[in-house]
Amino acid sequence: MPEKYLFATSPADCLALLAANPGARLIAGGTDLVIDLKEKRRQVTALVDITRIPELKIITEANGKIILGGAATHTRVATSSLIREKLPALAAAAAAVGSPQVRNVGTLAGNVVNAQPAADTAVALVALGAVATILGAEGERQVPVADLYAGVGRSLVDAGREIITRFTVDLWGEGESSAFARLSPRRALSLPMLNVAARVQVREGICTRARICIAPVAPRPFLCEEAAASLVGREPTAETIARAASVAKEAARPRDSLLRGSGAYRKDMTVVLVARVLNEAFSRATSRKIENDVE
Amino acid sequence: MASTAVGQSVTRVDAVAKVTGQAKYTGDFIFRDMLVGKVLRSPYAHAIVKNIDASQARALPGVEGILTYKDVPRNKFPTAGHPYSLDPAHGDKADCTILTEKARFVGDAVAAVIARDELTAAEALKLIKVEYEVLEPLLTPEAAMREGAPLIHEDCPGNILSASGYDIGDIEGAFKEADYIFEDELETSIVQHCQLENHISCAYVDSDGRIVIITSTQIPHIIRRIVGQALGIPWGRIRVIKPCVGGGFGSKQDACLEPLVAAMTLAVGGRPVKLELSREECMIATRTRHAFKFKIKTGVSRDGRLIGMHIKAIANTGAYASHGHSIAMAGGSKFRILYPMQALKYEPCTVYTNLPVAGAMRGYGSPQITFAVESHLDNIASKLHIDPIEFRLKNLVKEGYVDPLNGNAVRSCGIRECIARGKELIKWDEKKARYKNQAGSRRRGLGMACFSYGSGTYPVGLEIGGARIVLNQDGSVQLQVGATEIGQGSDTVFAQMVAEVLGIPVDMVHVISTQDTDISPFDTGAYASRQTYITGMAVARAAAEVKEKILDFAWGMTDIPAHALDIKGANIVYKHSGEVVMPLAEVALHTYYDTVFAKPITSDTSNNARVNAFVFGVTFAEVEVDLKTGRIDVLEIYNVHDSGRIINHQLAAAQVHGGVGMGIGYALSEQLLFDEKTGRPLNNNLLDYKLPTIMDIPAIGVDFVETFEPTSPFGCKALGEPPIIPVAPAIRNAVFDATGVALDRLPMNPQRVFEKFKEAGLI
Ligand SMILES: Cc1cc2nc3c(=O)[nH]c(=O)nc-3n(C[C@H](O)[C@H](O)[C@H](O)COP(=O)(O)OP(=O)(O)OC[C@H]3O[C@@H](n4cnc5c(N)ncnc54)[C@H](O)[C@@H]3O)c2cc1C
Repeated sequence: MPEKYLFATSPADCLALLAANPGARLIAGGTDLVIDLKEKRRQVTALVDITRIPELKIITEANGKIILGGAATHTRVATSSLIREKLPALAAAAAAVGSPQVRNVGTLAGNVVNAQPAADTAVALVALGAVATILGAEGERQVPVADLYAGVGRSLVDAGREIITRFTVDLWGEGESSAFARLSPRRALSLPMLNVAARVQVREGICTRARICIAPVAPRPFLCEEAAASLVGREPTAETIARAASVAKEAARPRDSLLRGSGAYRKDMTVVLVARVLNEAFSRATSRKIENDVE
Repeated sequence: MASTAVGQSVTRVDAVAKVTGQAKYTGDFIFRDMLVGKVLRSPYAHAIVKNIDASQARALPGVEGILTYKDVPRNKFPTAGHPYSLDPAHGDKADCTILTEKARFVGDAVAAVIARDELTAAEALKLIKVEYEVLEPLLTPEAAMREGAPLIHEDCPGNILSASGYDIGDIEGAFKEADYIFEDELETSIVQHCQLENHISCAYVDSDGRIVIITSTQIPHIIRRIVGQALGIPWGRIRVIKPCVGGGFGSKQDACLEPLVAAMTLAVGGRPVKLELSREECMIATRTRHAFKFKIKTGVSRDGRLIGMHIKAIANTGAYASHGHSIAMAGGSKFRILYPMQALKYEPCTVYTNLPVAGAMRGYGSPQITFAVESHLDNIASKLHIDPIEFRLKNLVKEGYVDPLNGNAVRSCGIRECIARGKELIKWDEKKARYKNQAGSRRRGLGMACFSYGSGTYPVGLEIGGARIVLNQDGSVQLQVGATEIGQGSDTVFAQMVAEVLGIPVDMVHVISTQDTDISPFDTGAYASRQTYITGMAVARAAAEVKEKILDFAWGMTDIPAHALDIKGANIVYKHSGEVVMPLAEVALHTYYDTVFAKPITSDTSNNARVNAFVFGVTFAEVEVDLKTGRIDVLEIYNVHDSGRIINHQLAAAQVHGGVGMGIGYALSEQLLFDEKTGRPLNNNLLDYKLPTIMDIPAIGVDFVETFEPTSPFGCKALGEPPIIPVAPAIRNAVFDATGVALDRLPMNPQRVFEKFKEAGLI
């Protein structure tokens, strides 16, 4: 059990406190970490709280980028009009996390560093191509969120030595949108059986860029490049969407779980959710509903 | 009868105490030198305890005692909260010991620690070394009944606890006479009560050497007896106190902790010991709802009359009997009144398995059999091309019908009106027409299901209730009952009843909410939806007695004969005109201090109610089904109940809200899961066990058809458990209506529903 609880006033202060207290770890909302400590999955000597650092909570647009502080809470992300307009997938993902209490304190960086493959906002961030800015003793580095995973529950960010200060998402500009969907056994306080986020861009009726992230179908948020590639250069129609969805299904490797659903079911659901998310994203991007024969 | 109190939505008598945190629950009793008890639980579903080495644990500073089966009495005792049976042949199965030398499920209590605090107790548990001989776990009734399967209880061949059933009429003859025969197989799952307050008890030995147990229970008087049996000591040496209880739903109609906590205090020289379960323990080591498998065969005439029904049922009771076969029998007897048929054969079989112990849970077997029968009826209606409501109307019971087996009569019956009201509320005809030709992947449908239930357990069980009233100097009264308030609102309705009879405002009735077996009148407790109806009779009697004494006393004071007097608005009045004679308070004061005639007024009654009243009701549900994912959303849901006259509409509606919510969880998402090889629980916590949240429950419509039940002085009947009973089949029938797919298993979670849709070729 930690013997000290320290408050950092700035990212640099946070690093200093971590360095001064061997075995310390930083804590944001604590919605994952406190459970880990209680169940003794992690041993720490001190906790460094980063929730009082103003710059870690910003949500803003600058130079064609959306910048989100590492300690932005799910509630603030979900209710930000900027995010709802520019990155609807992230707003929807943040709104899907846990319950109001969990969203009020849980943060984006916590969701990413906890490194669960189906963490909702992490899945959206991967689909959006978000890049994390990580501050450590050696200075700052920038790594795409998709590349921060070492395995289930294992992040390449070492929260005992470094801190994610922000996430940056480049805006693609005209004709872009995104969407998120999840399947869960109840409407709140429920980890997803499956979640999917997609970001697309349409120029002159043709899909020019696409990213699709699916989870939990791999040990990390699964960026399905084949499915995305099948869309690029094509007109977003019900057929192209259906094709991308079935490509995604082939690529997904969900496991059997009595709690979260069978692998077979989740493979079948991959088609449905990918199709729904793409439909929504393309409809938004083109401001025109894509007629889907079966929906 | 113009009511002043009964029928009014008065505020709960305990509302303020509960919302301000002043109400005392078991966990609020803190004693000097109180120790903490914890239980070492078996990690194996089926294993013999070969050896326990507790030496290291014993040596841990702060550990005051370690118990194994060798250190506690080894009397076998029954745990079910039923009245004691004078006839040993009808007693509950005595198959439990305080600690076991054979683990029968993952979580079975193998040893216990008593220590100065939680942390020490938890540390000590880790230091106890148990050597097990692991046996084959029997995790399904099929495995347990298999020839040559190991015995879970040595004295129970075939692992079958009981297979008694009943037979009405000639079933084979009925099938011959029928024009059509229909068959179905349906199945329900293991769910858990998830009441807010976990199980908790504390115990100490008082200065007279008696064991005092403060416990969160529905059945204090029964607990006294069971602890006596378990410890093998006279029952009078045990005192059980029941303070405020944060819900039970049947899980506390059972002796889960009390025998052990009593043994714990004895082991530490009578020092107070608290034993409180965590949610994770509570979900596996108290009680669950029996999972059932049904096979139903029904003969129907061409014009849609039910001729005969044959039901075979297998109930999974888990590792110990608890309420065991009573659940199968109660469910099987309470549903049958709804559709009288010339022949009905019921063949239930209750089987032991190496899973947590199934016991009483809201509805006591009825939600299971009602799911099966009401689903089956919709399947039949569809095959006969009859509207499911028309089909039921052709077969419903009428007033005056007498159950051929138990002799209980239907003296009030509003089921037809309930159906009519529900149909209107949900706009059945309009929506049925609208949803006729749906395309696309989201389909809507309407469904309904009916139920019948009893008010108490007569004639199977003793139905005794006690009440005691004391008139105070100011005309207010104390009411004491043996019946237990566990959140359902019984204290409030009893106060209303007393106020009604005595002609005083409800706030002049002070209900003593705590039951104490040393002091409280005898009553068997909160179960079987019995208290308002059964205990209400005792309360009415006690109040009538007090009233009679008051009017007699007033006669002495005024020379106006008692029969010409009444009490209204806390005044003694002329019966014919209502004119005030004198304040009740004046009479009350004289009963205490009149130097010649003083005789304070009290009453102390017990009522052995040798009657039962059938209750009825319906759920109407509208769902939207996502064919592509199997997800079911309940859009609208209405419960309409005939529970006789409603004593307090607000409390009654709250009861229905809770029951419907519980029913939605039962229908769609709840299920305790176990590893299929080892029997280890997978989701005994509230994150992974999918109790519905407020986001999953639509607005719940509640209505009552208020019949007047002549066997109750207030015309009331049961309402506690019933709201859950018809919910799951109504939702299931709505899905059937929306998709044509006959789901046959609970819960109807997305994966299972999707698989059924695939199987049916719908997708
Ligand atoms: C009841 C409940 C329900 C939940 N439901 C969901 C759900 O539906 N979907 C979902 O995705 N998650 C869910 N979660 C998980 C959790 O809420 C989220 O993962 C949340 O985003 C974690 O954020 P936090 O700020 O609380 O992280 P913390 O617990 O504070 O930290 C988590 C980890 O991240 C590290 N960390 C935190 N901030 C930083 C930073 N800026 N830089 C580097 N490392 C950092 C910590 O050291 C720790 O290792 C749920 C949790 C609970 C308790």
